Amino acid sequence: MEYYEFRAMNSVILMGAEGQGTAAGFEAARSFIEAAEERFSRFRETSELSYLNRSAGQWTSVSPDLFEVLDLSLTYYRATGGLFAPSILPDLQRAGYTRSMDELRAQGVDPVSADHFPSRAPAFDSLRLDHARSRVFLSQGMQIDLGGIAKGWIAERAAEVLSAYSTACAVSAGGDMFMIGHPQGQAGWDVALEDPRDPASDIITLWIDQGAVVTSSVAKRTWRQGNQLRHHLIDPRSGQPAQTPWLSVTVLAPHAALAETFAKAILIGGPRTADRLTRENTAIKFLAVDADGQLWNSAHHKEPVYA
Amino acid sequence: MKFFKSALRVWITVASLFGFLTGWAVLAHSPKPQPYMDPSRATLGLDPVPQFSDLIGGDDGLGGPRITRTVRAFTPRFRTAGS
Repeated sequence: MEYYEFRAMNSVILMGAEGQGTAAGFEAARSFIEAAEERFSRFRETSELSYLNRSAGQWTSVSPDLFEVLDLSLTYYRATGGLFAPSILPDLQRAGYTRSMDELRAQGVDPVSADHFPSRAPAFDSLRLDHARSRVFLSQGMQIDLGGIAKGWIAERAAEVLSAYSTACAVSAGGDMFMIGHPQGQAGWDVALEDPRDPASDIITLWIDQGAVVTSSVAKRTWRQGNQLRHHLIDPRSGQPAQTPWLSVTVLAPHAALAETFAKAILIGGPRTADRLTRENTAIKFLAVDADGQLWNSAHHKEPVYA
Repeated sequence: MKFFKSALRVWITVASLFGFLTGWAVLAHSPKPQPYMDPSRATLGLDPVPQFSDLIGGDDGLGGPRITRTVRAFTPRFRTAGS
């Protein structure tokens, strides 16, 4: 297994691959990730997403990649009962997340008044998609952040690029992972799950066959706004950082965008939502970690499954 | 003038001799240097240097030895933590 690591999307990107052409595969996957970041970042004025956000209120032609991610977003918005909603961007900005996490940590919260951002944006399902002409209509006042779903989608696509050069590969974009094939002599992949209470240690090691593993955590991207500790998971029902009994939720699913959106929805919605979503979508499995370090899973979410 | 030169030679000779003897006496009575480590461990336990033959992986058929090496690759761990 050969490895390649670099930084993009404000995250560490780690790729692993086996085969004859891994060096070329790593370069191809890196090029794809960097181009995709340029397209999907809300922190870059020149990105296609920023252009779309500036074009709210009118039909806008977009690239096939952006159209696909928006289409998936609408699908998962409906599947999660609105708990995953990319239109929470104004709420996120009002909570202080106005620039990239790297900049936020280095420079602190922007001293922009919360009133600068609209208090209630239009619901995400007011987004209209013109499949025939690859056009999008954002309602007036709607602003979109595709951060999580785009990162998962990019990880999966990058793994597909890398798989053309390798017999088995995995791509991790800040912990959003997608795996194709198996390492030689193994029946799966070891993936450590970080303890959300202590980033230096792992709480369990997961054994993954193939597909996606994604974790959402309220402990990972945090900052202070005044004397309040904020995190980046906005509950679309309240417009505030979510109050949740769990610190992190990890979802295993066939696709990274599915895993990403369901991890977020389960973490925001809590045990009842987890119960409903896993009954309706048997392809996903989840593992939650609470403040005591107890693990909770799909089948027995009322009882801890690991001590 | 001649007397002055002779006196200067004698003075230089006596002064040099006195300086040499003083230095000798001071060094003879100075404390002896201590060993910098326990004499019982004076012989360092270094591993033997590998023999060249250990590095030879076999003959490549071209008349010369082929040196092979074991690459111990850096193995990072895949880890999911939340984004």
